[in-house]
Amino acid sequence: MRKLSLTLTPLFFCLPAFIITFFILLVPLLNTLYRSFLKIKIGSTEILGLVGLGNYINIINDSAFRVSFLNSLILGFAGALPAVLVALLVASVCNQQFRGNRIILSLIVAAWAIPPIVAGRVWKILLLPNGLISTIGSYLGLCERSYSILGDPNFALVSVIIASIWKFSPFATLILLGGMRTIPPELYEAAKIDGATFYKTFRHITLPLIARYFNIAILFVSMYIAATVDLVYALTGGGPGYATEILASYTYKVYFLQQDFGRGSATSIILILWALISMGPLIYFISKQMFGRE
Amino acid sequence: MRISLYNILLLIAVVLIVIFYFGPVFWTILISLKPEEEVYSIGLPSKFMFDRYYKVLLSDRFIPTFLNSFKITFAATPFIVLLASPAAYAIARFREFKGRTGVFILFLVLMLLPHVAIAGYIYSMLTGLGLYDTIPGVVLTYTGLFTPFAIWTLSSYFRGVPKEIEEAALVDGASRLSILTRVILPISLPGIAVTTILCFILIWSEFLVAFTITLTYNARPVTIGTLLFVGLYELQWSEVATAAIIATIPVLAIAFLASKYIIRGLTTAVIRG
Repeated sequence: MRKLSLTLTPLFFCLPAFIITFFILLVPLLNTLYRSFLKIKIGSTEILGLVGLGNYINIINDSAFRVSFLNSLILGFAGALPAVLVALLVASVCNQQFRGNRIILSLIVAAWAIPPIVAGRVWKILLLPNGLISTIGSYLGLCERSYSILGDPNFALVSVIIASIWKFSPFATLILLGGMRTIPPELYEAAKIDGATFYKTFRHITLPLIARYFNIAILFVSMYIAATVDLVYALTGGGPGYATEILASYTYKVYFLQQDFGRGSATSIILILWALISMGPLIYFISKQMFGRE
Repeated sequence: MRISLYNILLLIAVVLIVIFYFGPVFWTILISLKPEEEVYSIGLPSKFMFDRYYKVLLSDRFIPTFLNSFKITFAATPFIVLLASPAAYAIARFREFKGRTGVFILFLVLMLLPHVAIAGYIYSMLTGLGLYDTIPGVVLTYTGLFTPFAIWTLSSYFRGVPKEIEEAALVDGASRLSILTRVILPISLPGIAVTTILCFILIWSEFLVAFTITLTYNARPVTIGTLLFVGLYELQWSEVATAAIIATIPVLAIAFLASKYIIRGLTTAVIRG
């Protein structure tokens, strides 16, 4: 009896959370996988037949998919790495002892809380023709005031990257700052007594000891950037053409705008597989910290 | 304070940080206060249009979504904490729970799933249940979407609670459930508060899933409210800016005021697992 209750109690505790996540997350996940092998009549849920990998082949042959896949790769690397480097700078500054560092930190938390859709709107307004950024550009002699930055395929993607750095680096800052606070202050005091410079302390104490948090931050940010439709939607809508389309926004378009549930499900599964690449090491890090010391 | 290279660099870094993160927000606030015809000019507005804030907030294109967001957030957040607490406690503390690493990993995978990839089937399910474009439908969906996140932050908090407290209660013969409700939850109030705040911010900011499972002012949250100015009416960037600012004020205020606790909550989750 005692043994039975030992097995059942944890299940009983997890059951409520299981039920809700089962229906809202797991069932949709499995059904999306199932639907990805079906041909479904466009604009409806009427199943026309099993097509195996037909939807996947169809999508891989779509040039818009290939552009969005490439853009996701670019954003995942060219967005995440600078975002975390910016975060490293900000976290190092916040970790210094000076009057006002609390306020700076509160501002960073506030920046983290800005909804991605609003972030997209804010940057859209900054980047309008005759807006702030093209005006600054015209003072520097780089472009006309009326230049449409978001209308230029090359700069549109750069704009999405910069807006993503702006939106997602505060979260990385908080992760890195948490890491820096695990470093015992005695280490810094010892370095100070030995006469180490700021750079040497940073290079030989801070960096090695926060390496793990640096990895966690990169993985989190590259995943958020690749999976967030909101920011791209509000900033460029994926355009001009497909210049700023990413895997996530492409999935949205196929599923909801083209109303093609079969192909939409196949893109969804490709997106999930993509996310699993960052997810794997991330979950490994997190669960190792949770249970590693036992 | 002596003037050294270190102090000068620190000052420059602080100024750059503030400009980078708050310049864009400041510019948006400025646009929201300008007369529409001055949106494309640089410099301060010729007159400050404070009344636009009333106008936008109270307009029938915006106020329903703003109220919906409050309803949705206040309804979903307690559900999430209620469902997540026992699971988080079991994962954090039940040594006899053999599969807990697996369960924890499953919840992490579900937490990190890209929402756009499952929104399509959620839409089909809600339509089947007659919950499409209703607030209960959105609340149900959000409860499912964000429960894994709450399990993560809560379980990391519960791990920090001293073991002796619960061991004493166990020896006294208390059941696990009564330990959770009478011992763990009361002393974990800070952790629960942080989780509540974080869920509030996540739910308030959610856009994409809401966009797919709602259609009208019945249930659309404020993240969509910020968009409706575009498309239906002639585009007025000053109004878009105003709507964006109003929609952000609640989360911005909470985040700023509770920043100490948010930092502690997030870093605990990341550092303790």
